[in-house]
Amino acid sequence: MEILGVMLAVLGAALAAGLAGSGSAIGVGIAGEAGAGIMTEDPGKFGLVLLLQALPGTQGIYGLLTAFFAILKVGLLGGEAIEVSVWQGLGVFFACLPIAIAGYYSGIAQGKTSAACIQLIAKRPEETGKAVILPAMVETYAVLALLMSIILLNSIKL
Amino acid sequence: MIPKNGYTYAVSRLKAMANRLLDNNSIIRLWESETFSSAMKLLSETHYAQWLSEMKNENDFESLISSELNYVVSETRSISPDKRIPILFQLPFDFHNIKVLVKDKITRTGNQGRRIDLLTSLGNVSVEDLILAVESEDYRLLPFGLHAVLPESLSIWEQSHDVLMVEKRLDAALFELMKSIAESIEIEGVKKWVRAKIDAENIRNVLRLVRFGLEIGKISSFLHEGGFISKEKLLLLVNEPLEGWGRLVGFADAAMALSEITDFSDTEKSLTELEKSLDDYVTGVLGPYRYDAFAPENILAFLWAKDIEAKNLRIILVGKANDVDKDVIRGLLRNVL
Amino acid sequence: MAVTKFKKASLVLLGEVEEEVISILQSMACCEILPETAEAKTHSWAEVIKSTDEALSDVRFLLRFLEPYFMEESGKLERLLGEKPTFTMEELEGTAKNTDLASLSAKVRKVERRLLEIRTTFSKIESNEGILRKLEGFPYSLSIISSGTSRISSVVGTLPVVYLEKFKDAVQELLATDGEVFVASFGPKETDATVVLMYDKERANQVGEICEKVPFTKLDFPGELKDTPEEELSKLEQAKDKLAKEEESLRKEASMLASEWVPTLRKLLDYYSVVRTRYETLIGTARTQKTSFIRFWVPEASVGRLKKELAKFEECIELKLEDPDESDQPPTLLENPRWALPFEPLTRLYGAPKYGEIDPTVPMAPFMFLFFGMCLGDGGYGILVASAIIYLLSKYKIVGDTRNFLNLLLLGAFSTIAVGALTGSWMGDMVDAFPFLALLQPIKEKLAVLNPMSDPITFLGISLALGVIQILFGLFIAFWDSLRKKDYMAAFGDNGGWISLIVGLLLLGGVKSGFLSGFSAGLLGKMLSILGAVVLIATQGREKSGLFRKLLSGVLSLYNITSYLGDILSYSRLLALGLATSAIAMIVNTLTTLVISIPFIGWVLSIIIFVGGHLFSVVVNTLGAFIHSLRLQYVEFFSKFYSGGGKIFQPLEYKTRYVKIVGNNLLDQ
Repeated sequence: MEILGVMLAVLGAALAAGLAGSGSAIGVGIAGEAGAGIMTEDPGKFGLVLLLQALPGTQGIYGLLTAFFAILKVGLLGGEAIEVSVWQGLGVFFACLPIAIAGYYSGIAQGKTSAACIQLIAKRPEETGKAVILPAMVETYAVLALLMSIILLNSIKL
Repeated sequence: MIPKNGYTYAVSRLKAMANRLLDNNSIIRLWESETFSSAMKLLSETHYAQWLSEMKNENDFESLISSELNYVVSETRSISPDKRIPILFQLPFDFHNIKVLVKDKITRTGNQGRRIDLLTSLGNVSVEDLILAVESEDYRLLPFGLHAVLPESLSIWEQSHDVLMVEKRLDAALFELMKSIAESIEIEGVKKWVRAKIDAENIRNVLRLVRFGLEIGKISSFLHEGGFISKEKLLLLVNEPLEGWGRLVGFADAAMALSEITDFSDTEKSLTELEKSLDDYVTGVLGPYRYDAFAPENILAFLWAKDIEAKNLRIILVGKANDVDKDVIRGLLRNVL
Repeated sequence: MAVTKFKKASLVLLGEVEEEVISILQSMACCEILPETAEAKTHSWAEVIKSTDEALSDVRFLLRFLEPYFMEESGKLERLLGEKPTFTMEELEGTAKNTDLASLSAKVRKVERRLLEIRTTFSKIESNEGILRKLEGFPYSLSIISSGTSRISSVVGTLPVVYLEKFKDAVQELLATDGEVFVASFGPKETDATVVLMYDKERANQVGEICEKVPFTKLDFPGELKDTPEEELSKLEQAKDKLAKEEESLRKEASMLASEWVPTLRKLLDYYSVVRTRYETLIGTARTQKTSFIRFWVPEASVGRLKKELAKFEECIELKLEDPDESDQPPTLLENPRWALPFEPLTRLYGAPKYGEIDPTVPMAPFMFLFFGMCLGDGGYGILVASAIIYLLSKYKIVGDTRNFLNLLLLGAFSTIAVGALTGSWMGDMVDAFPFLALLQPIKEKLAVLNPMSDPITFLGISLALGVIQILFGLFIAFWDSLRKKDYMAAFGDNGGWISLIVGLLLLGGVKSGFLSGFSAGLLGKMLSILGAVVLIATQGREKSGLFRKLLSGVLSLYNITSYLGDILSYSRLLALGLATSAIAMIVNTLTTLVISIPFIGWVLSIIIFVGGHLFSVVVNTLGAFIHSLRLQYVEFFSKFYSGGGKIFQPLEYKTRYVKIVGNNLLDQ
């Protein structure tokens, strides 16, 4: 039943890309709402707002990345077909979970921080530097999760 | 964990709009200007400039202020996800209008003109509708239970011929209404704001009525339930000299307001000082929510700050126009959030 | 590495020279004036400030109104980045004298007011037009509604369509021939119709009765409409035309005024702001009848220059210079070698160092440089970023912090190219993905020493090792700093203890996992860790009272090892971000090769995906690389030895927005 192994890996990839992407989408959405509010009054802030709005977007990229690695691993992206046992597939599935979970929640949390920081630059444009660092603090945990996912994927021998 | 209330846009927008609030510096600059015309010139450098065309003559700053307030209230109304918040803010203006119209109706004799100039367009119910309702004595279409309150207050007048009683009835209705709306909104800061407003109104009433020489039982009927300070506590104030008030309500935040009054000998002066401190007290209640990026309270806080700004401007401009001493004006200025 | 030394100067001057002396101080831009305790500001300078304020408010108003009409000569970007035109103070003074601001602002105010009036009239006309459109087809002249005749009066209002018949019947019944109803035409979807009821004035009561029977909403009818709707409409059309023409000509006037005056006004804005600052300083001095007294901070390096400039006033002034004492809080002026200048804004972003504290710019710079390179980590992207910045720098004359920032990115791009070459990443796996680039493969292979894609663990090790190095480096700086301040307890107890413990544990770990061998390394590790732990236990509770509590806090402090562990693990982001860049690039390349097989449009699609994908990737990853390498400096590195909280030196100077005032020798940095 090697097909089940492959499918488990695909499920992992789907979760990584889907959940982390959702987190980013919600996060970017929250930040965007705040940004739209600021820009209604002060369209000149577009550049800064865009920068801060983009920050929660990285989780989606990390998720995509992990998903890509996962399906590459089981040979779905060209190359020769690889034998994947159910256990190996399950391993790939688990390896995808860190970024899927952490990506979802950190994306949302980062979006909220970004929104608050967008309000901060509306009030104090001179503090932009600090406003950019605060959301990056949240992202740390997405980065760590990504790292773990990659290391786990890497350590599964096929 | 997703901010599900949908206030992000509105709060952000208002925070950006709040940048245009006249900060303490601008207020001080206005206050420092020597003459009325130089103050007006300063004002026309701020965003109030956009309403210059509304002015009917050189001295008509009231149009400037009310155009700005009207604009801000209608903007806020359009972006607030829960319309009840701006409605709550506007209610006192409705009741102001009603008081004006009722007083006008019961005191007017013959063909004397109506005092339309005292009406404000900041209420929820349009001035025209109100006038029409009062004129035609057809109150059916008025919202917020006004259809019952209005005729009732008129009949109180018929029975007692006492303006105070009418005011009492209207105030009671206003605060009942505010309380019930605030309860239904389920937002902590909004409820607190209403409670603080009730406190402020109660303390003001006690001071005013003590000055009129009313006895304690009468005064009691003028106080509203639902503030932070209980009715019983407030009634203790009646027999106390003003100096002791701060101590008696010492546990409540409103004590701060009382402790700021410096001159107790002159009741007229202490009343105006009290008005100022009470406004500051209500402002303070909304203060903590400023740092929350998603708090719906920010909507109320912004409207209230705008209202305070309008009050400050009126105080300064009226003062300048009548050559009031700078220090007197200074003493009346409210804190800006 | 340390910040510039300052002297505290006190200057007593005779009243007659004070204006001149302050002007000189302002032109030198090397003195930060200390505020004196406020006194009654009744000096005659108040008059000068007042007139300056008036001029300033005129200029601000004029600029606010005229700038939107002004066509910038150079592009907006150029003005944002570019250098400002230069003038001397005398030239500006001449301009100010020759400009009649009052009459200009009166003229412009008139234009503004007229424009506003026109706008109001316009909206009124439009609302009138709305009413008239509804009444189209009304057979009589409208004066019958607006003013009525001697016998006839009318009301206008809207009525739900379904009530029309009832309304007409009521009119028929109550007024009969004394009334006439006009119903304006309405579309099939409209629910309300506009009706006019004309009636004999004497029957007004019945009219009220009729209107109460149906939901009739009365409209206010504007009194100035007198003729038939059609005539009125064409009249309004004409009025609108006229107003539009007037508005057009006013706008033309405004843009003519703008092109004539905006450059001058900008100069004036700067001039008057400078003058205002000068007199504000003057009025802020402490003074007696004949003399005034100011105190200010001046960098030691500028003292000589200051004395030279003030030499000619020798008889009228007395200058005293002192070193700052304990209670003073001198400002901070960062002074760094040229190569570290691009990193200086990062220090300021975090918060300037306090006077006498260490300036972290230089220690941070090499790490920031390296980390940025590792996070972006792709040679191709490095080249893209570098060429974009070199283009910007050569095209525009960029000055100030923008230039520093671009230089920082440029340095980062170089480091990126180096890292990319070492890891064999050029736009991801571009060289391998496209067969026609196979030629480049040997070069790539030759340069590459490590592939993080296939061997992430080694790269992770390098990242964490860099983290250990930077954190230990931070602790050493703190150690050195405490020694410098003669705080030996902090030096050996806090910093020394941790250094010893961390190094010891690392050695132990190295031996256990087999990276290091030899008995001596293990023994050294053991000894260092025990020493460190003992020192920490002994010293960390030193503020507590009682032996037991001292010991307890000492032991508990060892728990902080977890925060060091966390700090070091945080450097794993170097690997993660570097991998992310390569992987995204790889995805773009894979997609490109996938779509190329689509017949006919395959090559177009693949070009779009390739260019768009890589552009997106380079922007996102540069942003990420910058923010994350900065975060490692701020959070992991600075926390070991740096607290910020200083106040940047703000000299009395020519602070301008649009022009540069020359004749002032800016502080040599």
